[in-house]
Amino acid sequence: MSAPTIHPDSPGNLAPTVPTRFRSQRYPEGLRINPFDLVPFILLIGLIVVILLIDPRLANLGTVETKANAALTLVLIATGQTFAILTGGIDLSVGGMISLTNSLAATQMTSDPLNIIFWVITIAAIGLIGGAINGFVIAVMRVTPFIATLATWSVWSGMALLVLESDGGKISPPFKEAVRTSIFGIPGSLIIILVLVGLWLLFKRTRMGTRLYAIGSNEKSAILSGASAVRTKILAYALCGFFAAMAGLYRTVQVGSGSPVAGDGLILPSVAAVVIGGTSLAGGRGGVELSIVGALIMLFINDLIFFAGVRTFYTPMVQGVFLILAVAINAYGYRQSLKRARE
Amino acid sequence: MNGWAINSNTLKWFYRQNRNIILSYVGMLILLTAVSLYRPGFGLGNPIALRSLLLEAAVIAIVSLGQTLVILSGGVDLSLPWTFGGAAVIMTVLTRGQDSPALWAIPLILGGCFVVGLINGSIIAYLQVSPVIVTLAVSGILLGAVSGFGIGSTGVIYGTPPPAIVQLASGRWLEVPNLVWLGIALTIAATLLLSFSGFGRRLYAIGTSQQVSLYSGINIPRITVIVYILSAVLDGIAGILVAGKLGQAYLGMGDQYLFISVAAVVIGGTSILGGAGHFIGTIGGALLLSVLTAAIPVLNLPRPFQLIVFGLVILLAVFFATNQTAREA
Repeated sequence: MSAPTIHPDSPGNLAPTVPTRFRSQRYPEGLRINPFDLVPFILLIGLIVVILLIDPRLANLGTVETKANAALTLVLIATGQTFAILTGGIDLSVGGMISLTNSLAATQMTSDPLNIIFWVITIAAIGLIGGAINGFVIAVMRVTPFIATLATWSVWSGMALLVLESDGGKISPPFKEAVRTSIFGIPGSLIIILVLVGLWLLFKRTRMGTRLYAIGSNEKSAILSGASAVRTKILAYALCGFFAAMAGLYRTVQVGSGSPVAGDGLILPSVAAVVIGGTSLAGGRGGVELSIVGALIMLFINDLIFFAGVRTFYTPMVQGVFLILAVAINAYGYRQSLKRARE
Repeated sequence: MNGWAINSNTLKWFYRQNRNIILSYVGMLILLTAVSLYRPGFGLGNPIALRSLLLEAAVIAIVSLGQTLVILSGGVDLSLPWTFGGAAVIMTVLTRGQDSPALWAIPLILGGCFVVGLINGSIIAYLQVSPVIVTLAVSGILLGAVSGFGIGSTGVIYGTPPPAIVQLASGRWLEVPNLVWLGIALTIAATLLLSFSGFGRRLYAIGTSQQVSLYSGINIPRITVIVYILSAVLDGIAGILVAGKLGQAYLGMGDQYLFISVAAVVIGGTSILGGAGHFIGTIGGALLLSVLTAAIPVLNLPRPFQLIVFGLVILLAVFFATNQTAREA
C-alpha cells in the first residue's frame, strides 16, 4: 500500500514528527560503551599490573597512602580543569592560582587554629572569585578562554611574586597534621579523592551539571533550551579556580614550603590528565571521574620513568608525548563513533 | 585608481581597517609622554633611555614575529619558550663559546627548529588537533629534551655563546643597536610577505575562514605547516640572538617570552581568532610593552607589578578588539 508521503519539512505536514523509538543507543546492541572510552581504564590497570610485577613488595596499604598523597595535587587541578574543558574552554590560569595560594599558605598561616580556618576559607574564596573573574571575562566580555586565562595567569603570578619573592616559607604543622589524619585507617587524601568522585557523580545529575554538558556540546541549542551560558560558564571557571586554590593549599602540605612559580609546571600536566582521561577538548564529553583516572595514569607513568632509571627532567617529555597520543586517539575514536552513529 | 587619492573617505576607510593597530601606537605615545612628563630623563628627551627602549622593543618584536604569523593563521604557538630557549642552550653546548663550531652548529640548530615546526604543523593540520594542546605538549617534549641535553651533557646550566654572536647581537651601527636594524629589516620583510605576496593572502584567508579557504582551493594543511615551520625557525633565530645580547644562555630563558609574544601580538591589534592584524601592529605592541616595562621601576612599583599590568593590558586590548569586531559584523 502506498499512502501519499509528505515531506516532513513541507508546510503541508502540520503534525509534529515524533520518532517512534528515541534512539539513545549509538552503538551496536549489547555494546553500549564506545570501546575507545575504555582505553584510559585499561591503561591504568595495565600500568598498575606492570608496576606490581616490577616490585611486588609495593602491594600493601602503605603504598595506597603514599600514592594517594602524591596524586592529590594533580587530582585537584585536573578536577578543576575538567569543568573548564567541559564547557569547551581551557584554563591556563590554574598555574598562577596555585602559585598564589601556595605562597599565601606558606607565608601567612600560623599554628593558631582560628588563623588556619581563616586562611583556608580565604584561599577557597580567592580561588572561587579568581575563577569567577575568568568566567566573567570569557562569558560576558567574550574573550577567548585561552587568551583570557593567559592574561589572568600573568596577574595571579604577579600577585604570587608580591606575596613571596622566591621559594621559601613553611607549612603550619597543625594544618599538616589535620590534612594527613586518617579516618578508620583510610588516609585523608584518599578520602578526599573518594568524596570528590561522589560529589561529582551527584553534581552531574543536577540541573547545573546537565547545563554544563549542554553548553559544552552545543552552546546555541543549550541557550535556546533555556540554559544560561553566562551563569554556567562563570560557575565552571569558579569551580576550576576553587580546585586550583585547593591544590595550591595541598601542595604546601605536600612540599612543606611555598614557591611563587609553583604552578607553572602544573599547567601541562593538568590539561594532560583531563585529556588522557578521555574528556573531549571540544567540550561536552567526559567527566571528573575520567580526569582522576588520567591523573593516576600520569602518576604511574612517572613511577615507571623512575623505575626505568631515566632522569626526572625527561618527565615533561613523556607527558607531552602521552598528551599528543591521547588527543589523537580521542579525536580518532570520536570520529569513528560519529561514523557509526550516522550509519 | 581614484581610491588612492587622499581624501577624508580614504582616511576614514584606512582608520577603520587599521583601528586596533593605530590605537596601540597612540596608547604607546600617550604612555611614553605621560611618564616622560612625570619623570624627566625617562624616554623622550633622553637619547640613551630612548635607545634602550627601542632595543627592548626590537627584542620583543623579533621574538614575536613567528607568533604573529601563527596567530594570523588562527592558531597559537605555545612551544615558543623551549624552541627559543632550546636553540640558545644547545648553541652554547655545541660551540662551547667558540666561533668556529658555530658555522655548523647554527645551521644544525635551525634545522632542528625546522623539524619542531614541521611536527607542530603536521599534527595540527593533518590530525586536526587543537593548536593549544599540540604546541603545549611539544613544549613539554622540548623542555625534557633540552634539559636532558643541556644538563646531561655539560652539567652546567649557564652557557656562553660564541663571541661573534655576542658581537652581532650587542653591537651598534650608526649609534643604533644592530637588533633595532634587524627589527626594521624584519618589518619590511614581514610587510612584503603579509601584504604583497600570495602566501600572505592565503594566510589571512585560512585565519578568517577555513571553510571558505577550502572551497577557494587553498591547500590549508600546506600553509599551516609552513606557518609553524616559519614560527619555529624564527623563534630559534631569536633565541640565538637574545643569548648573544645577554652574553649567556640558560634553561628557562624562554619562559617569559611566550607570554610577552602573545601580549605584543594581541596588544598590536591582531585578532586572536586569526585573519586580522599585521606585524606592524606587533611592533606597536612591542613598543608599548617596552615602555610599560621601563615605566614600572621609574614609578617606584615593585617588579612583579609588570606581570599584573601586562595581564590587565592584554585583557583590555582583547576586550576592545573583540567588541569592535562584533559591532562591525
